[in-house]
Amino acid sequence: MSDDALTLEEYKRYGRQMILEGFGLPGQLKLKKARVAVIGAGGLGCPALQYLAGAGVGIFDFDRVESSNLHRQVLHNTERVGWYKAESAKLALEALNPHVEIIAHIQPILPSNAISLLGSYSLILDCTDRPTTRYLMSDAAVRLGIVLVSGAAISMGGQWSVYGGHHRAGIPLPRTERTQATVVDEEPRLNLLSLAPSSTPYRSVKTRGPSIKCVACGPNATVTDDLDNVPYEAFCGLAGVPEEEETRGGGQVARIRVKALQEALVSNEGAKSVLIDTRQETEYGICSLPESNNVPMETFIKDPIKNVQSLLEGSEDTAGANIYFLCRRGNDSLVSALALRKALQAADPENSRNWQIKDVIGGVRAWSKEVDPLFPVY
Amino acid sequence: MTTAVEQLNQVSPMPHGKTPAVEQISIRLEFGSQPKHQVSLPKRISQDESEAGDDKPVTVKYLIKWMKDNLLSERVEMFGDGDGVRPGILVLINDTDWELEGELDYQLQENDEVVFISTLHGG
Repeated sequence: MSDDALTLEEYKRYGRQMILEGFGLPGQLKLKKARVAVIGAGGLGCPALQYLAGAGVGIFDFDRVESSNLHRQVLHNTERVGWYKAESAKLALEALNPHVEIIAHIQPILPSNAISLLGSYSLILDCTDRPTTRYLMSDAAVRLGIVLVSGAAISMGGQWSVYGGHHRAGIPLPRTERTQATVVDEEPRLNLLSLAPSSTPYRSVKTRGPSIKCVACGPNATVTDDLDNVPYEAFCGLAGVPEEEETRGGGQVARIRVKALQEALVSNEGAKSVLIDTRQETEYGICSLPESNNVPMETFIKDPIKNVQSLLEGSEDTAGANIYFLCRRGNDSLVSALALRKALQAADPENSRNWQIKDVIGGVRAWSKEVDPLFPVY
Repeated sequence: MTTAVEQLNQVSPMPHGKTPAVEQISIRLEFGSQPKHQVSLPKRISQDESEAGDDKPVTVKYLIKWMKDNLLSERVEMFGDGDGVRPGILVLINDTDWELEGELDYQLQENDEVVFISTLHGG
């Protein structure tokens, strides 16, 4: 069947939307001809794909399905854990609507292939979770002259924008030389949704139009079809970040592996020790080490010394105490450990306390992987 | 998951012990998922925009400095960057992107609403 007409089964299937004013048969035929590239088949991509399955949809995702995805990434299921997300989504969408052509792309979308992979689409939906890909999508859309719908979500909030013609998605790391701009037919807007109880549920705000400073669409634009030469990593502040994070902290605090923490907890000899878990209370409530004390990072860094002091209450001599920091992955714990170091340097320059600050690399995730496989990973 | 903007602390409704001689304006502040706050700022400020004075009307630059001094007890770097805010924090003045309103130079009016929102990147 050609793209210029509907089959009888399609009239029946799409009737409920075709009767909407402003939609009609022409609207349905436009959908039939449309080719939409959905980048990412995750939390945003899944619901978008479900509703888009009336058009020809290309799904780009190089990730695989994990069980922790299933509660929100509703096209995937338990049986397909380990599949490529793009292929899992394709199967679900074909079951939903056999009239659409679904193309699953399982290779990562990169500066070197974005232009050639996206050239045949009429709309790009950015449903990704990495800043570098977001800027790549923006640049590719500018070069190809395709409208870009950029969506993002975290926790209880979501944001989306439509960029057409000239644009550079300024989200999420706008810097002055990179600008967001839209000239479709109306003023650019950013839409914000929040389900958090005390915040404004919905906002739609006016944003700046095209900027002459924009490196993608301004008069002195430097971005060309050769996207491979655009320094996305450096621009997003990712270049030079070491894969292994053991060297972080600048030597200000000792960083130890979970095995060393386990040995310290078992041996229980020598100086007094305290283990501080800096995760949020909700996370701590999911699983925790019995020897640990929960002081969320935000609370801890407000007064590091007092927090440690109160945990050491009852000890005769706190000099030389071992202070261990633990969190989910080893980021917040390091921030907390460094905050304690800094506070001690200011309050106790003589270092009479001589506390031994030790941050646990990799957090409770590493604990589960390397020490106790029965400790839940969430 | 805590966003940069949520690092801001709760504000008490009004600064206490300020010199009553300085004429004040009242604006609404909102950040993260916290309820709105009514805060008072001096109506006019010094030339370098660092303190109350009589040189010019109060600006967003003064507001941001005031927030860093009064609302942030730690991790100022999560919010501020120079005189402005960190990349990735969106500032809205009366529901409009502050870039359309003059950014730091915008002169605050009585009852203005200033909102700080972290832009998101999750998918």
